[in-house]
Amino acid sequence: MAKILIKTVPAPAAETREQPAVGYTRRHLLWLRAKKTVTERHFWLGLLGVVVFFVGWDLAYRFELPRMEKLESPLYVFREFTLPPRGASTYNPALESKWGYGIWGKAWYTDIGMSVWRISQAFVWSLLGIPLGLVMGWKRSIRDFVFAPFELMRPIPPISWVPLAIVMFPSQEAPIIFLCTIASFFAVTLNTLLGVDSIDPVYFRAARCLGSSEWQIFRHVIIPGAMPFIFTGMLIGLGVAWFSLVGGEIIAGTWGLGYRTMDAYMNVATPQLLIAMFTIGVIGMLMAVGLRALQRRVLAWKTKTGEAI
Amino acid sequence: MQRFAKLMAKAEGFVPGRTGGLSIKNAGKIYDPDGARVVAVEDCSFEVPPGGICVVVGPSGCGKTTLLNTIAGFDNLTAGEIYLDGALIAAASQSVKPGSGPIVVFQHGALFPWKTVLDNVTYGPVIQRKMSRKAAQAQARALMEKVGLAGIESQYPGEISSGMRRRVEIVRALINDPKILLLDEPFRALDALTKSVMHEYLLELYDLSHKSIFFITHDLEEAIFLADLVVVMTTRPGRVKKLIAVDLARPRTYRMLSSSRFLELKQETIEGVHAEALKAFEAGERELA
Repeated sequence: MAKILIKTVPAPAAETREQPAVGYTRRHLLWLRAKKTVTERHFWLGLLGVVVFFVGWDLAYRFELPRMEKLESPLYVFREFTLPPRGASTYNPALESKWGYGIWGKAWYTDIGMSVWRISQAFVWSLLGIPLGLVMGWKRSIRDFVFAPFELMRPIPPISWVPLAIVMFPSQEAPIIFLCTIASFFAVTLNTLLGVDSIDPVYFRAARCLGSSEWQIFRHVIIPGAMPFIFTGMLIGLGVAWFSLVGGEIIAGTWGLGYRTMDAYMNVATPQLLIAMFTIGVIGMLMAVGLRALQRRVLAWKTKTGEAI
Repeated sequence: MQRFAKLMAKAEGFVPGRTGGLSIKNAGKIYDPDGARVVAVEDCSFEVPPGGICVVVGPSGCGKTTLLNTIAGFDNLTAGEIYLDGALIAAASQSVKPGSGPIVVFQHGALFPWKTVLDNVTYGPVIQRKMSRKAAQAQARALMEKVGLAGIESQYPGEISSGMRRRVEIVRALINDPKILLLDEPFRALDALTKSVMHEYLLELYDLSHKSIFFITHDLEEAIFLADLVVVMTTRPGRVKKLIAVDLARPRTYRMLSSSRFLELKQETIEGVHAEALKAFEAGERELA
């Protein structure tokens, strides 16, 4: 029989995965991708959506629709944000920002810095949920042991943790960070556990019959297999941490975007309130985008099949 | 691993296998899920010579996967014994420790999707510390080149075709030089044309390495084409209905599928297989394992 299937084929020169098609550098590909996005319909529709939102807001304010007259016009907010603060004795509404909360003042940057610092610490602490979830998924005994108290504490909203947090952590920052950690921790752990459960049992069998020990199965099957869910858990945890941050800062903090919203309410400085809210949204979105970029790299084995992340 | 490499180096030579003789004596398996006893396999006995291909045919739910699981060590017998090369590997009191001998190629594919093809193939030797990672990678590359899989080493299983995935999985098993290779309906998910090519591919690999193969399928033609010994199983509870020794000459080609001897063998078996299929259909069997 002619050997049609098994034949000695000279191995091609080793290609690294990083190298894309002939002639295209990574930078060139990014440029091409940007060009393609700008010509796509989806991009323009998205942009239109944002524009319509702001225009609608402005019109609602101008026509004094019910309850909308208390808000400020977006143009006013934008001016407040971008113009330099008022002088000591003068105030020209066309050229100066009344409250001074914007890109020219220090307050906005300090608020961002404080909030991001708190969130980052809380997020890092909540990543302890990943090993806990992995181990719970790995060993049935640990899951049985931990699951009951875990499920008892999970539904307790972070806000109701506030008094306990203030009592337990005498410092200024620690209660807020504790609050955000609690919120994020449960999301991360639960999703990690679900991730381990989602691994097809056939992979365990395959690893076992190839001669793996229990620890090797943990390292080579459980950890990579649960990764997609781990990232889902982290994204959800990040979002929940932001919710709790605002609540925590309102009650227990100084400086920070959540604190700023309460402070602006107290001083009836609506532009500050709106700027702070938008900033929270934008920074939350940027953090999620960063996490998704990391996800695309780590889960390259999944993204390369063409499934969207 | 070294021995397999030497075998591969002999390429054109015909080297009879010396290990992997499987002997199943009165094997029985009774499942007991919520108190209801389900007899999956009952009193199965047959022998596979070392270096031979044994194919088990039967309708869905007849216990063939259960039998494979007991040989591989994922399940234990409730009656009977299984011997591999004369040594008792499975009985009612003891079960096979996975990783000690038989390696399984699974039905829907169990290539680790998070590892590259090369990492998958080198997984066995590296994890059992049989050789260093670099040496294992060199061996894997050489082996893959020999079997026509060169060039995909740094890709992920999700990026290659299903036929290639099956081939990589077989290579992943073979690189560990197992005593016997267990294949659980490995070509079930492939389309018929790819399947026919894969049959020839498997037989070419077999000719090079002469590993004992224990193959499970529901396709009678596939069984007769591949096997030295065809075992026909009844529907649940699974018993051995018929044993057929296939004496078609090796190496086998697809042209043999229309030869008179092939049709004779098929005629011998098809009555029995069809009767079992009918029984299974009426009983509405589903695969348990």
